[in-house]
Amino acid sequence: MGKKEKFIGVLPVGTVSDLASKVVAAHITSIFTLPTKVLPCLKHPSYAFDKKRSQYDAGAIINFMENSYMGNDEKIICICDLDLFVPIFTHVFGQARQGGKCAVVSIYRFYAAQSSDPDPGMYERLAKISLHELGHLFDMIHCSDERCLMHYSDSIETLDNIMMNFCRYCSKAFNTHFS
Amino acid sequence: MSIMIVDDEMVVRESFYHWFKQSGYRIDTAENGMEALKKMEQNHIDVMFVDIKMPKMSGIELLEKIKQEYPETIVVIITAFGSIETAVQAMKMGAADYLLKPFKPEQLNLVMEKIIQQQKVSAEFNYLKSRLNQITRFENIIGQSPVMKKLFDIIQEVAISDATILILGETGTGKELVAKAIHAKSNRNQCPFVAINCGTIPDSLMASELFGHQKGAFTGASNTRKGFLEVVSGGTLFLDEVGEISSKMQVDLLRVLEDKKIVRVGNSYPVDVDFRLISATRRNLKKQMERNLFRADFFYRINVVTIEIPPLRERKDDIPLLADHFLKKYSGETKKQIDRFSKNTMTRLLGYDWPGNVRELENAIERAVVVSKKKALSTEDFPFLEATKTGQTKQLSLLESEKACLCQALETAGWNVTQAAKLLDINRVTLHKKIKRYNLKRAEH
Repeated sequence: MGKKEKFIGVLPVGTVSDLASKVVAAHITSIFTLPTKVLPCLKHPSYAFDKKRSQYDAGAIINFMENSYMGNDEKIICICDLDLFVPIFTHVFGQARQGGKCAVVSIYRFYAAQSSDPDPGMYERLAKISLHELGHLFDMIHCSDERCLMHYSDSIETLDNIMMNFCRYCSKAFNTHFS
Repeated sequence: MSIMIVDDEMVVRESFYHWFKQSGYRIDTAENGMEALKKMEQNHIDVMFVDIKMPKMSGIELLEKIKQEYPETIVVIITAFGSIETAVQAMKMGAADYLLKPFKPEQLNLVMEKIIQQQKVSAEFNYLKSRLNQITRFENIIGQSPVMKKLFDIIQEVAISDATILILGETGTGKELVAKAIHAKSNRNQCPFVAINCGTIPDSLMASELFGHQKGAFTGASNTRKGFLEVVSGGTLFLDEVGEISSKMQVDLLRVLEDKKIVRVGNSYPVDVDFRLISATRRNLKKQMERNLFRADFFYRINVVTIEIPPLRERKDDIPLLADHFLKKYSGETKKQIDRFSKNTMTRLLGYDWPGNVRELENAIERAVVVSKKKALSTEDFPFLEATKTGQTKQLSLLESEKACLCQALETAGWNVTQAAKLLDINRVTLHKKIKRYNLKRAEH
């Protein structure tokens, strides 16, 4: 399948704003040069809620999507507004499985501290984390370059330090994936 | 870097798996300690994340085993809130760090950074250690004991001269290696080094091998052929087991050493030769001279400088160094990941007398590496050590064995000759004769 035939689905889940999905789709088109499509919003993923932690299991959302969503999209990025976790970590900004079909990212931790007001940088952060997780779906691994999109961000500060593009090695790895 | 996650909860194993996979690590998982140990027999693991609470074998038990069998593997303990004390205990037992579930992503990042740093330091240490090994090696001769250092100095000193050298040493001590080292350090190192084992060439062929022959010189001499003394031209001739050379050949060689000329068998024209002679023997040539088995004039001609290589039992300090060297060599050749000796093995290797010297040690380790299925060589891989457990490493002669056997039977029978003879299944008169012959006497209590 050629590069032009790839198709990325941006799937809002729950109460996430339209703007968030559009920003992510625009960045995917711009950075990955792949066609994107914002899909109709899915209902709140109550199945992934963990009562003990009062958080949503990112792995459960991915499992659900991979098992039940039968879209024709090449890859799917789920956008949500939930506090995501994986069992070992207190929280995650997003989650994807290496070479998988579906990733999930959340805008929840990008709001201004102690406030639900929009932070000016939150859409940019959401775009960066979406591109990062999408990179994993295309089999790209973490990069040691602190400015590269594939650099692992464990905090808002690290994420803010990342540029909106791949380093030359990751660009090459991405292009090789399609060649 | 290879990582293994040992946790009974699948969701935890999966979370780790995906995180490390995304960072490009080689990752494996195990459901319990037994499975982890089984997998470790097959593959080397750099870092291990171990849950403390697991059925069958706890994380602490697994940590203990890992530190015993694979001390270079870094272990990080994963623990839930409320078991911090156990985590501290684990740190005391050698765990590198611990993580309290659930942890912030940056905590795992920090732990990994620390481990990578630790591995860098360890790699640097190994590099420096290997450099040290190079320093303690001399042209493939390994040793750091005072006697070996002295030997290295002698080699260095005699190499530049053209004096003949006689190397003395028991079998397997590395006489040829010393000869090669002298040649390598000499001004003749651009020319050939030719080694001949005089014990393996029949006397009738020795002249033809050393001096060469003309076509038709004897039956089967279908072509003219250069001898070793011509082939070696400009280089070093090493005559191993020189004590085996016949008296006639000693005379011929003595003449060559004095005239620097040879005459091919079946020819009458002399050919100039230029070589340095290094000889070696495990025999006592002086005793052979006394018995007229070795010519004194030839002995003094080949023995301008004598180098004595000590047997391995007299330089036991070198055994760990040599053993490590051979272990690396053969684990590399056999592509096995065996990288150390288990706890008591080195002590046992040091306790053995090594009658076959370095060669015996090398063969023993080669055999052990081939048969071993573990990452560390244990005493079981050296069956001869088990056989000599009683400490009797010396090989007894037939007479000594007989004497020992008679003594044992007499002691058992309380020096009752009739009973002792029955035990030995020999005639009573024969036993009396043997007691007299060996001058056996009852020990006074």
